[in-house]
Amino acid sequence: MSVFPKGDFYTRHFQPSGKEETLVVNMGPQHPSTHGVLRIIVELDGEYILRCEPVLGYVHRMHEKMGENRSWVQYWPNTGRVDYLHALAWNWAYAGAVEKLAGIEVPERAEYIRVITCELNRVSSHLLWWGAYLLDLGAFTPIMYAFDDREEIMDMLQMPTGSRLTYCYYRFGGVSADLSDEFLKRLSRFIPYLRSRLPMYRDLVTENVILRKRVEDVGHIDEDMCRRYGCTGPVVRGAGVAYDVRKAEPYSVYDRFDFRIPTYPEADAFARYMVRMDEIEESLKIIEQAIATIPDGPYLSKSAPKPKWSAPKGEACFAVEGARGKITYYVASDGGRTPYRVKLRSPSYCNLSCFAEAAKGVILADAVSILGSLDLVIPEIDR
Amino acid sequence: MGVIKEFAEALKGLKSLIVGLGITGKEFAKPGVTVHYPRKVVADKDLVTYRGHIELVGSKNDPAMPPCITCLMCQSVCPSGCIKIIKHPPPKKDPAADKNAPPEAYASGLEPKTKAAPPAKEKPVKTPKGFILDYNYCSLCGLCVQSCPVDSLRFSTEFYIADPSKKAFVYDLMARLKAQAGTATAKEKE
Amino acid sequence: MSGRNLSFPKLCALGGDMGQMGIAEIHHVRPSQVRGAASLLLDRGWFIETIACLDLREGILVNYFYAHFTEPGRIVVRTLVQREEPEVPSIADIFQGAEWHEREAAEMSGVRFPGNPNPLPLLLSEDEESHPLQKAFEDRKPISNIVDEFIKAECWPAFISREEIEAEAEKRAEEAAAAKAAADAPAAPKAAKAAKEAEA
Ligand code: SF4
Ligand code: SF4
Repeated sequence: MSVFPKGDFYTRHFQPSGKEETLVVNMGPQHPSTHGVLRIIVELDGEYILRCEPVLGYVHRMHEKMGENRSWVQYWPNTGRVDYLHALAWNWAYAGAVEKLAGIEVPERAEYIRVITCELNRVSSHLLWWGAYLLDLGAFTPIMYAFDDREEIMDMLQMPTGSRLTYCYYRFGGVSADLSDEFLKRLSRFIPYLRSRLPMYRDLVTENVILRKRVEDVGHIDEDMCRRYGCTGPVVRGAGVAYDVRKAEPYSVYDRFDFRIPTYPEADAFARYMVRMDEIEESLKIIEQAIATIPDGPYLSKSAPKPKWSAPKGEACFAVEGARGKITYYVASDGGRTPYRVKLRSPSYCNLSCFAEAAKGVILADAVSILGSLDLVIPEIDR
Repeated sequence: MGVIKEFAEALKGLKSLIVGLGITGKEFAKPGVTVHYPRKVVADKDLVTYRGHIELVGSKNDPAMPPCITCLMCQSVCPSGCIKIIKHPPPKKDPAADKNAPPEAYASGLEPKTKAAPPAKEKPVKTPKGFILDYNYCSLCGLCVQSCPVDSLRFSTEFYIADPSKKAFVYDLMARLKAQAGTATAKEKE
Repeated sequence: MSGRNLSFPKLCALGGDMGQMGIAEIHHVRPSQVRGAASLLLDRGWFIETIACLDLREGILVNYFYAHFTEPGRIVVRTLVQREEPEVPSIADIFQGAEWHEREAAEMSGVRFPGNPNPLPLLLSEDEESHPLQKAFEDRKPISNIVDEFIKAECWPAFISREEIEAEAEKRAEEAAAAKAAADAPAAPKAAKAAKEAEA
């Protein structure tokens, strides 16, 4: 016995269940398959997981408190840094919540610009997930293919937004820069190109027998479980529920586009994989329609708030469909210079909370597969 | 039955592997897409849309002076507090000029018809004396550029910046603008 | 719509507006009624979105956000707890996902959820004792500064006395009257001026 207590706070609380010959192992915080600093304490019986508990908070930045001590406009850069892979969806959720609260009109062209850029960002997010997931499963090369295509998207998104990852592009009442004709031309060239790449992805990976063996019948998360844990996004669509905020609570101009919500009833990791692959196609479809019908006009409303603006009193909630699920901003204002309360509902947080139940009794290697299929972004979980 | 099924499955799996390998082979023969930095760099045309740190824009008549009117809008809107503007001190009141000021009686309404020319007022200098950007904390949000009433700010396309010291990222934008104006005129002369 | 028309014990229900504030219904309940609401909502197929606490002059307002997979709308169940005794029974055995939301609310806003199976700090460090989302006293605003429905007295449990609510309401009415008078005031001199001009 050493004088120092064994383990840290969480391992001490995570006592072995008393069964013989079990082993408590820390997976993370620096584990390649957790894509960031997520730590999971697992109790193993041989290779099987008896129980596990995620430990969060390693990249906690307290976005909610930051919202309370900076002005409405100054909160913008924070929204792009919650989920760095689908930053524009978070931009949009904040814009939408405040626009709802203050009744700010958004010009039609700005709505179309938002749809185009947000969907493009979703494709890039799914591509990165695809590569990273396969990296978890031990296939190194696919991520190179994904990055090749994603690079093109980032170059394109750089044209209006100016940044490559943590966008801060939307503004109350519109967006901060117009789409150039060059962007639209390049985008309409890119869509058929990416579409032609998708069969290649399928042949290279989706049909691959090794991948199938790793993901099929692994990590069942069914509808009931989704409901109890509040899982959304590809997780719930992989459980056969056609729940997509873009259709369920149509915001912006999404009701004008014709697209499908891909669902797969198997509720396993492969179903979630297929949902995301199909979503890339659907997003391309939306972008195509949006480019064809984008109207002319201003990209920022004339009544857009000035920098020293403060919202009227009240509360508002706004949800958008992010690449990982339902993103909700709740803002409450007392009419003051700063928000009274900003609450971020992050989809990864809820999706991860079901991991402890989903991973019970599976092999440790399958836990990695489940974790990857949830498409976690750790900064979004920790906020 | 079971054996046949398993055989079929194995064959299907094998086929999928071969198809995948075929794609890998095809891609292997293609030329690379990456840029071998520093032997090669990204083309300048891909950089024009890049938003680097902010910089001052030269005004029309004097490219070394920004049209900035030191309204301090950018400084107060910046969420990270990384802009620091140093104003010119307000013009000092000249005691000699004060002596020339019209006596109190004039102010009572009995002004003489021939008014003495008012003492030449020194115009306050509106352009900033210094404009310091601490790029270490900048979040590249663009709020400062957007809120400037006279469009005195823009993003530079500065891409290749790296330094082991934080101090290197505290920029004096006035000096930067002067240097830029200098090189521009030098080029013109050539 | 089978999901709506929820009849669980509550103090009162307010209609929200999905288009204007993104909340379809607001139900005010006592802390002891939170569990009843949660099990009914689970039966009807609602899922928990998140839990958000607001630190107010009156106490801590705990909001439970629920949404549905097939029906539009968002339901907020809110309860007010006193700062001296901030306790709401846990719903982690009904909605397992609420366990994390409760842990987060507990460490951020200082609300306790007795019955939570794993009440450890989640996002903050384990020895952190302050609650970052609690506001300093002078920053706390009364609920009437944020929502207008304050006047509906039955929405707010008994520990804010009715008199207080009414006094607040009266004050607001007076203020409104004063504001109206102030708005009328500039009109008066104008009228006088117009009369003078007419005379001339
Ligand atoms: S871009 Fe944003 S963070 Fe950077 S200096 Fe301007 S306002 Fe500040
Ligand atoms: S740069 Fe623009 S916003 Fe900043 S002080 Fe000068 S004029 Fe004002």
